Amino acid sequence: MNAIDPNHVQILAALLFALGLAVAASRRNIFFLLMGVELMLNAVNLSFVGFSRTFAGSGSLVGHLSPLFIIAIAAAEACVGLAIVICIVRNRDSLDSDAYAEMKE
Amino acid sequence: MFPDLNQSLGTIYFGLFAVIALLCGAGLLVARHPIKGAICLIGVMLSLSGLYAILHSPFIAVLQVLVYAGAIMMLLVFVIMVLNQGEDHAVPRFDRSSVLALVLPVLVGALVVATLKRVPLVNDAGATRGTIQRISEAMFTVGPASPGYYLLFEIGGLLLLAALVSAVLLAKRSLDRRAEEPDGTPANGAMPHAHPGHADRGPAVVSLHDQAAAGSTTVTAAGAVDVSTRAH
Amino acid sequence: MYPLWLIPVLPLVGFIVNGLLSLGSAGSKRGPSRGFVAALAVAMPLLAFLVTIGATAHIWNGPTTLPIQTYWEWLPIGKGLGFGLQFDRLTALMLLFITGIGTLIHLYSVGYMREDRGFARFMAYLNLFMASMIILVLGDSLPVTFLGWEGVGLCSYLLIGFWHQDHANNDAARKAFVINRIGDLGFLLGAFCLYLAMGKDASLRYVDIADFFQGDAGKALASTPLIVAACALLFLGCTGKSAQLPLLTWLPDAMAGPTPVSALIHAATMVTSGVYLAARLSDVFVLAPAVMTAITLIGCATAVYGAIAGLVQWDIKKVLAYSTVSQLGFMFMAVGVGAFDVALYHVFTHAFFKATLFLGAGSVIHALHHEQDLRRMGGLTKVLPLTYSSMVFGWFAIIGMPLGSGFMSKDLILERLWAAPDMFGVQVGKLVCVVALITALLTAIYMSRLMYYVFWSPSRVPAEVKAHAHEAPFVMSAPVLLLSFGSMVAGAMWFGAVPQINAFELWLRPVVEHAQGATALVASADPHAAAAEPHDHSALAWAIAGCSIAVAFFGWLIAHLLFRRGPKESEPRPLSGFAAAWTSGLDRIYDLVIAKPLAALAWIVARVIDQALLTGVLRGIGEVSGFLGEGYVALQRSRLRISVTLSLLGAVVVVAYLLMPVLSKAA
Repeated sequence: MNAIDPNHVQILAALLFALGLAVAASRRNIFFLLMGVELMLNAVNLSFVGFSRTFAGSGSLVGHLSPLFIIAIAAAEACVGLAIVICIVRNRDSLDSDAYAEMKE
Repeated sequence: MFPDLNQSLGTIYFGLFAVIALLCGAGLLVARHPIKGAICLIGVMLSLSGLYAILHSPFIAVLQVLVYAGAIMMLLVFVIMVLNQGEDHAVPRFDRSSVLALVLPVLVGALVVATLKRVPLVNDAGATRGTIQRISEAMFTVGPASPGYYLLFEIGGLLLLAALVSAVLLAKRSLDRRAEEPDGTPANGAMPHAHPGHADRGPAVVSLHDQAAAGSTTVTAAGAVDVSTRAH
Repeated sequence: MYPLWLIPVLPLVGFIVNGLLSLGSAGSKRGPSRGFVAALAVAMPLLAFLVTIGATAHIWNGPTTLPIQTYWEWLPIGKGLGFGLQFDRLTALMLLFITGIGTLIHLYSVGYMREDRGFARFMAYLNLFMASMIILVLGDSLPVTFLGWEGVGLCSYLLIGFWHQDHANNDAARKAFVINRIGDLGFLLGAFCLYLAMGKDASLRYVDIADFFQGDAGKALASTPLIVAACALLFLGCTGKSAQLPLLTWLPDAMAGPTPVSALIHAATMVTSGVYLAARLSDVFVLAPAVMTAITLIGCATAVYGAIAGLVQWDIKKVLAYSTVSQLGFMFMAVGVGAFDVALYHVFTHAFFKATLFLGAGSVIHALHHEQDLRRMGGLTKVLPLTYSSMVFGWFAIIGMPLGSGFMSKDLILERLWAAPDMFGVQVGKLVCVVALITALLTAIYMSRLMYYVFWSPSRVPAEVKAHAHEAPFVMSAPVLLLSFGSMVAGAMWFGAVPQINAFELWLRPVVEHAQGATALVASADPHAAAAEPHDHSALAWAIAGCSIAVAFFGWLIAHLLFRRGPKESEPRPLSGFAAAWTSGLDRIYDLVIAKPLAALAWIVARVIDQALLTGVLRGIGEVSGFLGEGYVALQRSRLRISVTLSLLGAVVVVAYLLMPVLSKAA
C-alpha cells in the first residue's frame, strides 16, 4: 500500500531521535537520561520499520527483524542501567548526574 | 491482520500517531517529575506501536506494546517509585550546558532532511508484510540460501540472561552486612536512606566481595533472586 | 737498511715505561725509584744520539741523504702517502743537536727535579717531547712533520703546566697551547694550499715538493695567489711555534714551567722548528717574494720587541725568554732574505748558548732556593764558580764578542741582510740590517745587565738564603759546562769573514742551494737588483764584523756604567709603567680585539640564544603540551552530560562525513 510517504516516516523518526538526544544530553536527572536513550532507540526502530516498505523481498524483512533485536537489547540495557542507578543513588543519595563527575578520578 | 486502508485514511492515521508521539516527546523533554516523564514515554511508545501497525509490521507492533511499553517501562516506573524520588526541585531542568546539548538535535534533523531531499525514498511494491509467519521463516530457516537469524536469537537470549544476572548482582546489598546489622533494621534488604557517615563501601566493591564470598553464580543467583524480589 | 725508526722509538719507549711507572705509583707517597727512572730517561736520548751519529756517518762522505724509509701506507692522498722517515744533511744537523743537547738537558733535569714528587712524570714528558721533536725533523712529508709539530705543542703544554697545583701555571700552559693551535691552523691551511697549487703532481712529501718547485712547473707558479697564500699560512704556523710577532705572547708566560723545560723546549729545540720548516720548504718560500719581505720585517719587529722587553724585566727567566724571542727574530730576518743556511747556523749556535744560559740560570735559581728575581741576586761569582764560568761563556757568545759563536752567526745574518737584493724597489735589507745592529746593541746591554745583576754587582741576597747557597751538584753543572764549551766551539763551523772556514755552509749546501740561488734569480726581475753573489764580499764581511764587535763592546760599556752597582730597588714588586705596558701590551690588544668580542659572542649565545630562545622555546612547547593536556583532562573529567553530548556530536560528524557524497549533490 502506498498511502504513507516513506520520507515522512523518516522525518518523524529523525525528529523523535532529535528529541531523544535533547532529553538525554540536556537533562540533569539521570532517569531522564535513560528515558532519552529509550526514546532514541524507539526512533531507530521506527526508522527501520519505515525502511522495510522501501525494499523488496528479503531486504524488506530486515526492517522487521532488526526492531525485534533492538527491543531485546533495549530491555537488557534498561535492566542493567537501572541496577546501576540503584547502586549509585545508594551511594550519593542524589539523582543529579553532575554529582557523579568526581567518580571519574 | 489489519484491513488495507485507502490513501487518505492512512495519512490521517499517520498524522494522528505522529502528533501524539511528538507531543509526548516534548512532554518528556519538559517534565519535572520523573513519573510524568515516564508516562510521556509510554505514550510515545504506544503511538509508535500504532505506527508500526499501519506500516505493515504487526508483529513488531504487538511486541512493542508487550515488551517495551509493558515490561521495560514498568521496570523504569518501579525503580522511580522505589527510589522515592518525587519532584526534584533542587536540580534545575536545564542549565547552561544544555544549550550545547540542543545543538545536536538540530544538526541531526538538518542532516536527515537534507539527505532525504536529495535522495527521496520510494515505496517498493514488493515489500513484504511483517507477519509472524514471514518473520519466523526468515529467522529460523537455516539453509545455504539464507543462514537465518537463529544464532543471533540464541545470543540475544544469552545476553538477556547476562543482563539479568548482572543487574541482580549490582543492585543487591552484601549478605554479610545484612546479617550483621544489630539494630534490627528489617533484614529484607529494604532500602534505607544512605547515611553519609556510614562506612559504606562502594556498591561495586560490595558486589565483588559478594561474588567472591558466595562462590558459584548459581548459588548467588538463587540467593540474589530472593533478595531482589524482596527489594522490589 | 739503517734503522732510522730507532731514533724516535727509543725516547718513546722511555716515555711509555716512565709514564706507566708514574701512573702506577700514583697512590704511593714517594713515587717510583728515582735511580731507575733517571737512568732510563737519560739513556734513551743518549742512545738516540748514538744512532744519529751512526746515521750521520753514513752520509758523511758520499751520498747526501739516506734512502727514505716508508713504514706503512698512511694517507690515501695523491699517489698515496706513507709514514716515512728521511735523513738528509739538514735532518742530520737538527737531530745531532736535538739529541745531543737533549741528552745533556735530561741529565741536568735529573739533578734539578730529583726532589720533586712528579719526577717520573717529568722525565716521561721530556722523553715524549724528544720523540715528537725527532719525528718532526725526521718526517719525510708535511703530515709526518705535523705529527711531531703537534706532539711538541702537547708536550709544551704538559711541561709548562707541570706544577699544576698552581693555577697560574695552568693558565700559562693553556695560553701556550691555544696560541700554538692558531699557528697549527696556519700550518694545515698552508699545506692544503700547497697541495692545491701543485695540481696533478700533488704530493706532500718533501722530495716531491722540492722536485716540483725546482722544476719549471713550480717556477711558473711564482707569486700566484695560491702560492702566496700557502707561504703566508705556513709562515703563520712558524710564528706560532717560533714565537714571532703576532703569536709570541706565550713564550714569556711559558717560563712558568721548570727551568730544564725552558732550556730544552723554549730555547733549543721546539722554537726552532719554525725555522726548520722554512728551510725544508725553502723552494716554495722563494717563489713568494712578498711573503719573504714580510718575514724579514716581522722578524725585525720581533727582534726589537724582544730586546726592549728584555731590558726592563726583573725575572731572570723572563729576560732569557725575551732574549729568545729576539734571537728568533734574527733567525727569521735571515730566512726572509733567503739566507736559509745562515738562519740554521744561528739556530745551531743559539741552541748552545741559550741552553747554557738557561741551565745556568736554573742552577742559580736552584742555589738560591727558587729565587728568580734579579733584585735579590748579586755577587754570586765566588758562591757558584762553575755556574758562573759557564754563564760567562754563554754571555760572551750571545752578545757577539769576537770569536764567540753568537758573533759568527749574527755576523753572517747582518752580512746577508746588507747584501740582500732590493725588494720592491726599496733597500729593505740595508734598513733591516741597521735595525738589527741596534738590536744587537740592546742585546748586549740587557744580557750584560743580567750578568751584572746576578754576578758582578754587590750582593743583595738575603742572609739566610746566602748561607745555604751552594754550587749545583755535578750532574747539573757538568751539562752546563759542556754546553758552554759547545757555545764557544760551535763558532768554528763557519766564519763569514774568512771564507775558508765554512764547514757548516758546505754541509747544508745540497739542501738549500737551489733556493738560495733562486732568491737572487727571482729578485733580479727588479731593475735595482744588486746581482752580486753574496759569498765573495770579504770587505763587507770584515766591515760588518768590525761593527758588531764595536756594538758588543759598546753595549757592555753602557751596561757597566748603568748597572754595575746593582738595581736601585731591592724589593721585588710587579712591573709598572713602561715595562708593564710594553710586556703586557700585546696581551691587552689581543684581549680587546679578540677575547672580548668572543666573550661577548659567547654571552650572546649563552644568554640570548641558549637561555632565552632555545630554553624558552622548549619550555614553551612543554607548556603548550601541558596546557593542551590539561584541557584534555578537563574534557575527560567533565560532567556526564558533556561527555555524552560530545561523543554523540562525534558520531553525528562521522555520519555527516559519510553522507558527504549524497549531500553534495544539488538538492
